[in-house]
Amino acid sequence: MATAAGDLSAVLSEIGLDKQNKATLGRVLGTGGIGRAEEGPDGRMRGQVRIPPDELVWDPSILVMPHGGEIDIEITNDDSNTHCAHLPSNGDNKWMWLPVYSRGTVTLDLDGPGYYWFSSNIGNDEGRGLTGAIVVLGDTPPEARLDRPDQPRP
Amino acid sequence: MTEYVEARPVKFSDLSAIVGNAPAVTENVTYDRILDARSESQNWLTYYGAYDGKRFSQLDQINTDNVKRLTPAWVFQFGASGLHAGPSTYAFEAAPLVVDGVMFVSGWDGWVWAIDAKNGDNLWVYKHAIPFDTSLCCGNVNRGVAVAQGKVFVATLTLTWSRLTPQTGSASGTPCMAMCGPAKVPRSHHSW
Repeated sequence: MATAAGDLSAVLSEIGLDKQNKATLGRVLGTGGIGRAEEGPDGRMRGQVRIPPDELVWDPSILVMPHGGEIDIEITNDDSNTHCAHLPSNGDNKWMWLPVYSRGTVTLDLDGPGYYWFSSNIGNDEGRGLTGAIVVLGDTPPEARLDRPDQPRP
Repeated sequence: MTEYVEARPVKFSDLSAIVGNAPAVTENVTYDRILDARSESQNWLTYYGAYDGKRFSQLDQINTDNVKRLTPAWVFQFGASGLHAGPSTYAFEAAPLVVDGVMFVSGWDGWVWAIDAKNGDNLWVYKHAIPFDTSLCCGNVNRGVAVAQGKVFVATLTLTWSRLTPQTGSASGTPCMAMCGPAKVPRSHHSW
């Protein structure tokens, strides 16, 4: 039976795929909420991500930045298990241990548009649902698209 | 109200045995020195070894008589984590550069390493964040870095040039877009 995308949350709940240890051990990848990063008057972006209890999901699992740049993300672990946060950033990835009921802020530098992953890379948190995406909107600057001179045509 | 433990972020490489710094070997790598790169065959200053592209080295310690006795001196291994573009098509395809005992080599997905050429120790690592939806013509690969005037240069999959400080691997200035020359980069962002 086919289902419309709009019914996804309801169907996941009905089948038991929105909580760990119901129909499966964890969350289906690519499900969960979506949130927008906020841009302050200083141009700096801020976002919040949380791990709710017993769901093995980032909330939101998709965090959208309006453009490339630096962002401060506050991450909270409200689960009763220890996790961590592993995130991409120019220079080196960032990593943060997230004991039970912990909270911390990580700063990322993501300079171009696209989809960037983040995860909890301990145990198999990643395969069980704690894999998310940071989406940077926008486009590459015009000069980045002028990488080839006009090509001769036969 | 929940009392939260304070979590503190670290650089991912801080969790490894990476040394974190390297000698300033590229400080004196000038254009003239690269033009005459073959005269210092103990180094490999540019992609083909020299601008004529012949990949010829004047070193003669290894010859047809003793080449059969070559054994591995060290092996550099690296394992990435997380998602990346082209997970089935990534590889090492770079020609490592060597400058006075330090090897600079790039890998897939924005990785660059400085390695002690004598023992294989990883001196520093640089990672440019690359979106996993980046379009790839062929695979997630990089053909190598360039060195000059105190910097290590790497082109990334997102069409930027990063200028790395060879002592630490940290980026200096704003990444330069593909094919832009120094004149297109705001001088305030320059450190080379």
